[in-house]
Amino acid sequence: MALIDKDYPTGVFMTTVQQACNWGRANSLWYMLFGLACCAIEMMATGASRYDLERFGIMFRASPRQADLMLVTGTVTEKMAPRIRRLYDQMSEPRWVIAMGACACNGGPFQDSYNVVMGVDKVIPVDIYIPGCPPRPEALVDALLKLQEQIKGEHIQPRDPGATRA
Amino acid sequence: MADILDFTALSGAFPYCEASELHDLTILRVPALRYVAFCRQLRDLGFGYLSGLTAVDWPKGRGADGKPSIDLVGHAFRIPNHAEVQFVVSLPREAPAIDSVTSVWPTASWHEREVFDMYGITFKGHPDMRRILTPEGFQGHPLRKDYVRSAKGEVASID
Repeated sequence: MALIDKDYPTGVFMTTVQQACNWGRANSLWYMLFGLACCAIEMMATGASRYDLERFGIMFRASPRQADLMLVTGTVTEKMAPRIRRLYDQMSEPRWVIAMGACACNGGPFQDSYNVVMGVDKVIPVDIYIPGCPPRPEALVDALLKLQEQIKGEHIQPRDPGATRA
Repeated sequence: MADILDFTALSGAFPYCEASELHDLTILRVPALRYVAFCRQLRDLGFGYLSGLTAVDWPKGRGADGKPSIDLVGHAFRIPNHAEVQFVVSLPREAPAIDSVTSVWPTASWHEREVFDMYGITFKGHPDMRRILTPEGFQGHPLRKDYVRSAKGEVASID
């Protein structure tokens, strides 16, 4: 028997618009394939059959226009940074960013480099940071589940009417 | 063409080069003036795959003479026999310039752009001589030994 038959035998249940919206957004997080370096391999591995992201409703999209989540996986170079900003701006709201790997979090091992941005949060706002070099697929899944929890706790109406989300 | 693989055959084919050997690798030091003709001849011998082009910066010179130089180093493969040749061209460190070999191996286009970006060697006759790895407007050549990373806080603005 499905959950809906067991808990709601009449087939009717009540919720709030906020909860329903957040449930919908959290359970179908489509991420933009943004593999920059080695962490991209782990991202691909997580999306593949052993760890399988699609069972969470998380599917990859190649275009920022169709994505809610930007998974920045890998080293951000100074040449790439304006392009990341442009792609982030092309995503429509609500949108979230996960910085995967040490390089995306704070520049990683390239602290003294001539061409590396010390963390993607210098260019776009980040919601979840995943340390690791590279983080294991389980760590990426953990971060995505944390993001789902975060989304489920969001207020869909901004508290300050003038503010927009990041 | 089995005879073209070994060190003696290669050094015989290029008498104006200083040939040396390191395990199985033949290393040919080419004078800068004969560089393009050398590459063309190498390609015509069957070495049709330029696997890489890079440079080594010797600010204090190499060996006893102590003259500062930059060595342009390339590797060419002859795929049917799995033969490899390394060629080295020594250039002066002040405003190093040499002819481009994109007419010989088209792949040299991007390799030469990278060498220009990292070492400052300009390639005459290159169809698109601009930086490839560092952003537009970047100053300096990072892989030179005297490169100093300038303190940069801000990221380049959106194009």
